[in-house]
Amino acid sequence: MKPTRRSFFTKASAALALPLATGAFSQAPVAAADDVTSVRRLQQALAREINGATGHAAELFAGGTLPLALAGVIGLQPMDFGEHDFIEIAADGRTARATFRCAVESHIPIAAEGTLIDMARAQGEGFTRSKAYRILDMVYVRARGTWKIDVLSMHEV
Amino acid sequence: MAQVKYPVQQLHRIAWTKLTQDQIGDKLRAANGPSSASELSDVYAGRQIKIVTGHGPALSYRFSSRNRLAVSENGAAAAEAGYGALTLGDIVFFTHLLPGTQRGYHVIVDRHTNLATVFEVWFSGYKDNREVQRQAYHGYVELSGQEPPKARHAPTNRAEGKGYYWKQDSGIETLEFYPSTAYSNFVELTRLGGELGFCAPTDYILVNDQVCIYQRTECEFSGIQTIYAFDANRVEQIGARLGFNEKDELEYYVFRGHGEWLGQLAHFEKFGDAGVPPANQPAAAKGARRVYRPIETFKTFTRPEFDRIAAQHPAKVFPPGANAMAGNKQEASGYLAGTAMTIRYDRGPVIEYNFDEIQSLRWREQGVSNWTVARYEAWESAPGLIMFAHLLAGAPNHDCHVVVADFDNNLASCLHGTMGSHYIGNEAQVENLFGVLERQGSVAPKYARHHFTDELVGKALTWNYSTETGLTSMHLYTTPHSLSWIIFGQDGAGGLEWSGPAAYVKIREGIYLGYWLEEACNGTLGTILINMNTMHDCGAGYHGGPDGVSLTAVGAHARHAGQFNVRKYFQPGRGVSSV
Repeated sequence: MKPTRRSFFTKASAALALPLATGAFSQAPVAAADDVTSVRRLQQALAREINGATGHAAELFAGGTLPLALAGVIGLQPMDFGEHDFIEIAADGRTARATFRCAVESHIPIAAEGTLIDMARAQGEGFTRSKAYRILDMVYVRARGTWKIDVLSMHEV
Repeated sequence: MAQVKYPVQQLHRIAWTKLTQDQIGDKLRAANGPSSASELSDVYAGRQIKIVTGHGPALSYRFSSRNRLAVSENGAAAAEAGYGALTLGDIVFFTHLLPGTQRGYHVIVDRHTNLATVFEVWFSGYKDNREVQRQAYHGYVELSGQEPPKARHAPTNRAEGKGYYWKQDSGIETLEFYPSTAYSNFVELTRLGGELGFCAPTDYILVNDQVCIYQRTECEFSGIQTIYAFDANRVEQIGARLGFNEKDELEYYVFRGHGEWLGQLAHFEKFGDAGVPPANQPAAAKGARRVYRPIETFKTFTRPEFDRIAAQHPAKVFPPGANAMAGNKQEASGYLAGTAMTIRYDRGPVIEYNFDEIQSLRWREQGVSNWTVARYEAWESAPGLIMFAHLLAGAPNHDCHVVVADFDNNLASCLHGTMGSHYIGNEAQVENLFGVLERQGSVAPKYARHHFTDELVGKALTWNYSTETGLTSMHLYTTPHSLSWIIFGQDGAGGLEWSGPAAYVKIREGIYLGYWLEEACNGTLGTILINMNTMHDCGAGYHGGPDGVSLTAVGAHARHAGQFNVRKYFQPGRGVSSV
């Protein structure tokens, strides 16, 4: 069983930070709780940057660029009070992986040509908004002591 | 009756001189303050005031007379300049340039509240040096011993939807419509004969419940600026005009005017929304404003170039697939399939048709033996009233016919589109053709015809082209010969706006055939059959671009947005062109 937000409420707070993992991602020591918190904060920072359209979201990625999966994404909202979220720190403490359920709001450019579309684009519009529920599969790396997002992909809930 | 002075070229056709900074500097040096047809106000003569603005300059003024002042910016050494001031109730408007610079200020003070708005203006701030740049700062007149007021003038949507006829003390008459929070539309009755309306980015600043500041800069044209405060109750204005006209002469004068309220269009913002949405507010950068610059994105060709392109690219006629302009179009009608008829246009061609299938017809000019097959689409706007459109393959100008066939009355109207204008090789042009339907078993009228109308003039209709994408615009039928379109923001506020030549034909009661030309824009000919009984239209867009000629469907649901009472300004007695 993977730890969940619900388990957070039913167990000690450290339980959430200590995933029951297999393989390279093994049971972490209590010290890993700080890493879990850091990763969660990194994920929260990503949502803030995306939702705020700050233009700085790419700085949270190890490669310094936004992944294609975030093209057109303008909103990331946590779902289900995080009860399905999962964070796992590798045994060596250098990588981590996580899944988050999110409501993902996207701008989809209206596929058309013409004056009205040109004008809409000129005033920062010309797109449709869509919202879909997605699972974000995340991989993180620790670089010079700081957690960064290495891989972000999405799939349907 | 005074003779109407039509311009040699309308604003969108003038090759505006790219004035250099030096040329502008020379012209400004010759100006010694604004001129005025009215007596200047001495309201500030002999007085000193200091205006403090947020995020902007502090301006200390010493007015030595009614036309000379000294101004200090942010405590710097004072500079002397000519100025002009006018008053309207508690409102004072004055303007001056800063000698030796290409900058100046327009200042609006409300003496009742001591609040002030300062427009800093300057030339040579954009790649087109003649385009007046501006930045509005809101503040107050500092009074010794008194706390600064907390309120400020602010951008507003309270002027949105209003329209006025204005007559300035100089005799200049205009119709000015404010259908947007970011743009306005102006019809120059005196300067340009009132044929067309034009659009320009505009600021609207609320001074108090009845007074608003209006500022437009004619970007894409002369770059000239018109700024005034207007009182919605008195229907009076005071303001200034600053910039270079079509002769590259400096126009710098203050004016007062009076007018007539023409009507009020609907707002589409949420109730309670009385501000200006962020999308329509200037960005943080000094002087920033949202400007639609259509010619920058219009890929133009010479006529020989476009002929080669059209030869290499098969025309796209009602292609299948998504079309954002036709998400709400009527279903293609099979009314014509299996029928034959002849359309005899007065002083035009006589076209014989065989409609073989729902989207395939054959046509030929009477007297020609060979038929030409064409793809078409038809829509039944009302019982027995069919609009259909097709290209005329083999015709010399990539021609198209958009036809309204009234089978109840055996009448036909055609918008004959052609590609290529005197200015641009892939810019559509159009002529209206009127005629009759000739069919077996019925007799066509001898005299009755569809006819041009001004019944739409002044009306505004919104058009929702697609429920899925939400793409919506508003048409404002500004004159008998022009049409303006306004894009809404997602909050429902009117945003960018543009306009083009147009004409309107009455087909039946409440049903009108209209066209507009996106001249010096993207070259499209838009054609629509407006049915105000169903509040639905049908039509076709005819365009020439890098991929050749296209003819695509248009269809949208309408809502009434209001009407301006302007038809009287286009009657023959006024000397302005009529229908």
